[in-house]
Amino acid sequence: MIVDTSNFGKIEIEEKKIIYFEKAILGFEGYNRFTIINNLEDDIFYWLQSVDEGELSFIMINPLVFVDDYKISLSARIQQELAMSEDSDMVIYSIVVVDQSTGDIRTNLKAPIIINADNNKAAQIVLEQNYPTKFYLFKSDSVIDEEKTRG
Amino acid sequence: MLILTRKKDESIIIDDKIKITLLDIDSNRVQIGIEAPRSISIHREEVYQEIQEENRMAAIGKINISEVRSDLKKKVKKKTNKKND
Repeated sequence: MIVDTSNFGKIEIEEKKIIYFEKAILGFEGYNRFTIINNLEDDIFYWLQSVDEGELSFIMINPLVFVDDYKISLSARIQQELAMSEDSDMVIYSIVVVDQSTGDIRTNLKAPIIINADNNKAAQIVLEQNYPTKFYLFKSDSVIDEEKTRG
Repeated sequence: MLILTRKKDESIIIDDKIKITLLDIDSNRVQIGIEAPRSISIHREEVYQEIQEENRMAAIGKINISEVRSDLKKKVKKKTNKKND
């Protein structure tokens, strides 16, 4: 199908590339179908584009690239909702916020996006582990120094 | 909304398997104990509000995509180049 997007123009999305959110992105209930655009020579960023609303997209990263010991556990319910089996391939992303006013870039480690690669069912889950909703990938210098000293 | 009155150390059972106990009462603070199966997810409401707020800030409408991409690339490096503490 063809989707007219505000950032990528008209793009052709194959049916099999459509990801269906069984549990919506919080605050975006009703927008369940997305696709991931990752053929833009970016090796870090992925673009989550709504199939139903051309003007809605998110930037994502693979949090495992940025956090060494990022571990998530999926509840039985989520496994059920995403129809996961023991050998299902799971893909993890986290949503990126680009703060226009400060230029800061952060990601939400508390509520990652989980996709069952076998059937493209997805969910934004809220982890019980104590991960921050605001994990900074880039901060203005002064604050980064502060973080370093706190180490 | 169902409203029940409970005293300290009294409980409520929901759906046979979730037990909520009033552990302690202060003037404006109560401590609640929750026993539930692992499959039930329990979070403070603020966590959800915070996540919604982050999601809203993350949603991008029309942006200058090449500008944002080069900005992101410039600022964000993989962890090999990140702070090394």
